[in-house]
Amino acid sequence: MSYCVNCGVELDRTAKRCALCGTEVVNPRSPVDTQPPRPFPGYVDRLGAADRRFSVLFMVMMWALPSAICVAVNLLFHSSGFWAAYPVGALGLVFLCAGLPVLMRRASVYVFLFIDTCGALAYLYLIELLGPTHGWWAAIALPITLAVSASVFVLVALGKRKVRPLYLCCIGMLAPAAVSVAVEASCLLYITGAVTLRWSFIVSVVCVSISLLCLAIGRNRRAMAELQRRMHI
Amino acid sequence: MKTNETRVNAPWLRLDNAAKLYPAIQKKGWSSVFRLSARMREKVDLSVLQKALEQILPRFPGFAVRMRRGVFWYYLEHNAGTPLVRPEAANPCRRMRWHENGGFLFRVSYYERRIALEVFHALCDGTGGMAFLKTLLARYQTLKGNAVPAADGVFDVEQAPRPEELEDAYARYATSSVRQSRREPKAYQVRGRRAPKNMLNIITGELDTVKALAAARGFGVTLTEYLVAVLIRALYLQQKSARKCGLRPVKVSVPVNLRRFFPTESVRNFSQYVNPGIDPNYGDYTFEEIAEQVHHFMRMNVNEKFLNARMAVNMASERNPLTRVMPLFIKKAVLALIFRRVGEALFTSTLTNLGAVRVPSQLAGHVERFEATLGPSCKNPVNCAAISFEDRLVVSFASTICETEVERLFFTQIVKHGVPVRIESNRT
Repeated sequence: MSYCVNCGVELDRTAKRCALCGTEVVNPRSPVDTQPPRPFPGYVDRLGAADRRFSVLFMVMMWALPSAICVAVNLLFHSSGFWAAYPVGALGLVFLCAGLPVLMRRASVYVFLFIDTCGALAYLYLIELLGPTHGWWAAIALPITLAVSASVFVLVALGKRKVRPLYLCCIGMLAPAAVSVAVEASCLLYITGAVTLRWSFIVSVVCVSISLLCLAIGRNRRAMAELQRRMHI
Repeated sequence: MKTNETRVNAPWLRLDNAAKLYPAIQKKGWSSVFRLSARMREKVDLSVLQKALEQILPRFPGFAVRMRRGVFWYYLEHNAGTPLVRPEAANPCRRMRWHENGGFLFRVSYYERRIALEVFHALCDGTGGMAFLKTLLARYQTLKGNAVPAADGVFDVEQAPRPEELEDAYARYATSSVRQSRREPKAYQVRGRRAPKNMLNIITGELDTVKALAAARGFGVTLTEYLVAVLIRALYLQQKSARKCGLRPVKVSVPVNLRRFFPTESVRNFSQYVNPGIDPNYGDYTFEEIAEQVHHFMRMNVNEKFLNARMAVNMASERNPLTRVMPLFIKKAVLALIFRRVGEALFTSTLTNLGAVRVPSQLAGHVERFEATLGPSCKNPVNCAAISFEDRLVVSFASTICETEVERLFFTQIVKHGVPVRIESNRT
């Protein structure tokens, strides 16, 4: 028999480490017994596989059924152009955003973000192709979508690294500033051909000010302590 | 109130007062399930166990049922099928779907020398489950050639089931005119990294019953109060390390077997909960202070009058005409909401002590120890169950989080009190 040197409890002869603290069992007089039976079986009953298949099937049906109806109706009454592409494309985009995470549970969040960005750009391009005006996709849709996507990418990356909340807020406030600048600049470039930032400048000043304030508080221990003292929940 | 429970061969059964809650709060991936198991001295014979199960099932009509949805309440319908004994999995107390397992709301499984019974809480409480398990073990041994008499909680399989075994004892005994409020301050909730879906981490500690009892008496408390005090201290220390400010009360829900106070032969649910605990905002607590507080709380609350008042509140809710005419889908949402507000939020963890198990001597020689596991709660990730048989006290923690801090603090505290602990787990 072996005892955990950290917890003082006796361990099962098949235990490689203490179940309470994870300390490895090293006992030359009584080596770990690797032969079964162990206290519990190794077989894990994985539940929910049927639920997942059902969810995917349900989502595919939710996408395919209205799409098929739209296409059928459009083909029957085709006088007003191929309008079914809009709802079919929109449903496809929803499927990409909501359905793929269910299908590919192990994939990284960055992969989903990339796929969603590509899907959104493709859908906007489809709208441009079918619509009466051209040229706005490259001038407006592309920069705005990329700005939004980059902001989300940075925020997700920071969130995953468990950055302190104040620093997260500091960088997070720069995202709406960047997006607002991208929106106004691209729109003005497309419409007037010149860039004179107005409303996005106000948004940016407010966001950057809050961001700097967060940074200042985050770096100042006394200010941080004072804030915690006054605003603790 | 006239019910159909008096007829044992009735095609359907009303759910008892406590059981009405469990199907309503059930989620896609979670059911309120508990497990009782016995480790035998010899390897389990599957074919004999299957035969024993089939032979005892008619003696327990409350188990041979499936769950059905009515317009206003769920109900239990007789299930004429045959439940199958299955090999045990590493993740016990999995959620119980009503269309799986032939519609039965219990599972019997085996692994090496262990026979386990997992039960959906709507069927029965620990006492009812133990009666079923003991009878199963007795029949198993009888079929193996070691005749076990019907005594010490073992039911006579040859005898017909009696109506009293299926009664809703809450309806019979909840007579108090006092309506005790369910409101209590919210308690601390343990947080941690979630274990993989449908996985329950088990850590079982085997203690010497005599030494554990001696340790409890050393603090002037009963064994249950001692275990509750150790758990409260473990949760209290865990909270102190996890939360830097704004400490919350630490309370442990302790089921009380009402059969001790209100005589009944019912094998269905008949228990109530009391929530002893401490509020760390009053200052630091030593173990002796916690033990004393738990002891006095239990003396104050665990008596016929108080328990009856608690029962009466639940019965009043059930008997309320508005509740009764409310369609089930609304009732389900309301019950789930109430459960979130005045249910699990009021305590940090649950500790159930099923006490000392007694079986006929002809069976005792074939059983090494009994084990009990309380399935995961909806909100509280760590639960604890204790059971003793002869000189072995088995304390099992079931957890849905990866961290083992509460379990470590619990068992190391017991070791410090001079009681040796032997640990087994499905984690290592």
